[in-house]
Amino acid sequence: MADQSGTEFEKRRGPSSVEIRSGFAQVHVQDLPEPIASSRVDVLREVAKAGVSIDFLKFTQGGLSFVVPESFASKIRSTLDPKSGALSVQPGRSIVYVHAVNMRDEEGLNAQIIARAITAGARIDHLSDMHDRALLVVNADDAESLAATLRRDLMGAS
Amino acid sequence: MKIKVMKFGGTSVATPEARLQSAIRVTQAKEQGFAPVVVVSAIGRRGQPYATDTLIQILKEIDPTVVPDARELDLMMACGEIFSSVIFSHTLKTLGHPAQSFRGGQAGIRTDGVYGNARIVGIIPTGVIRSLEQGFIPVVCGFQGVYVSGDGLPGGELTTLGRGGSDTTGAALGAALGAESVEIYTDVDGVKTADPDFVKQAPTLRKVTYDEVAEIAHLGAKVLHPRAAEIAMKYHIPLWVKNTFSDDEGTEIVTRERFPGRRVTGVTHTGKLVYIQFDLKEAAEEHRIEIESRIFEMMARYGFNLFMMNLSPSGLGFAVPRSQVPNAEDLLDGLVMPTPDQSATYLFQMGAKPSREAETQAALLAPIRNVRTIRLDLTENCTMVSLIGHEYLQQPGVFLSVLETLLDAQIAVLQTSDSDFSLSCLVPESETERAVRLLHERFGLAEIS
Repeated sequence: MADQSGTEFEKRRGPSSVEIRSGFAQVHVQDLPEPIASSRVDVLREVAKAGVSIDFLKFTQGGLSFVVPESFASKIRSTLDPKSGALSVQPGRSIVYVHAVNMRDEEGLNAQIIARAITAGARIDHLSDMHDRALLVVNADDAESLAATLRRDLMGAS
Repeated sequence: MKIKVMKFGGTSVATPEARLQSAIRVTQAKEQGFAPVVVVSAIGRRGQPYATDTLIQILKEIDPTVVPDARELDLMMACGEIFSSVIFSHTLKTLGHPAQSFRGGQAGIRTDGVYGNARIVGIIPTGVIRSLEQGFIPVVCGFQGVYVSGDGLPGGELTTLGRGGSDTTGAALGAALGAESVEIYTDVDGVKTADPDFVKQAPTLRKVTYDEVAEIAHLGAKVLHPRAAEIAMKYHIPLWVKNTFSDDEGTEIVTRERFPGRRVTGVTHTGKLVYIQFDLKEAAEEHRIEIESRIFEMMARYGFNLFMMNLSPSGLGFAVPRSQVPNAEDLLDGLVMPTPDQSATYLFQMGAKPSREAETQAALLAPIRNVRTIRLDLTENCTMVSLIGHEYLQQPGVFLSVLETLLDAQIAVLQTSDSDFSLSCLVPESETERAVRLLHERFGLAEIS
């Protein structure tokens, strides 16, 4: 018995849609001085002082990474450049969202989505997950083809 | 007929006194003109004779090395609710109210075919409606349904709905029956701003939106299962969380049109998690994509549940449930991964000191040129602590406030994750209570209602 076909009463099991949002910049700060925990907070304090709202904050080895609206890319550069470790701000990023209800409870689903996205050839700059979606930050030029591949391979869309 | 679905959790049916109290709530609803439909969980919690975990344990104790079949586990677990529904039904009868108990399948709950985590595909509540029309109070087993495959199996296969499945049964039956409301009865006054075991004065939220409660439930609050909130939201069923043992008004779950929400709703905690970080600094740039994709492919193939994923130039990381760590260690420690062009071979090593497995592999690989090590660091005993709210969370500096609060208290934050409704931090499990209390205080949650 292995029928996992889409449900009608509850939300469909597995990926239900793939969506693209554009107009973002990905920020990565690395080689922060020890103690790393307070260095990360120092970076975020500068960003907050500049009035910039961040999304999808991730801690990386020796630094941190997050996404901001593209219009704030230059502000981030001027705010962080002199004070921080090695700074990389990449504008022209899109976020590909894969929506799937209760995805953290579905065995292997998150990993399957990411594995498929990586093998599709798009360079993933950043990734994150919530209970109902995984998101992949990629070059805006790659977003459409990545989304099409994920729709085809994960949802059976033609 | 004004139908009210009343779901009673394990503690509300755990003892004769609790069952009597729950049954009285049902008879009161009937006296108020409602046609009550009762949904029950299994009796009691872990360790008590008829609780779901106890039933599972009976099977496991036969031989702990043999994993029970999922089908057999479902049949075993379903016994708890059957037992509970018959006792509850008879309790109502002793109060002078005729009642009939129903298995999930008898109540018309059809699921997909995934044992242990089935999803409801439809409900044909003919039997329940007939029972109501005949003057009975239907008492339905929560947490279970039936999969009818169409391959000729008479009656179909019993399935269970997974964690929190009785709440899901309650909400789904409410939707199928067009109920006036669904009331989830438990042993706390409603949805709280934090786990009352950690924050004794955590206030009860009088109103929360469907999306807030779904977020709270997904991120750890045990008072209501997120699937129940999602079904109620989809079918616009008024939903309440109430205390069986008090006359507190409870929490009403409503749409955002009726209640705009608060800046911050609560602090939750969830998970016995282990954080795994892969150090990819030794990996050649041209091999990165191959390595990353093969790691995620393995995690998918072997069914790992990944949380708080991260990918950066220095490596990748994710958290897995503690229960999956032995499998992860078996799979990854000492793993040898040659590149397709055979220009390099990567050896996975867990921890700073190689295990015997990794050491043996390294010795075997010694004659091979260009062997590189990918080190994995495991941080055991982690918990995800989350701040729940609305648009306010996206304002500049809010995540900073969360991190400053934890840093000032010298609570390590290993990773973070965020959504429109939540900011989550992975912290050491030993710091969970302190982290919850500090964030509750920092965001003034004791003052809200």
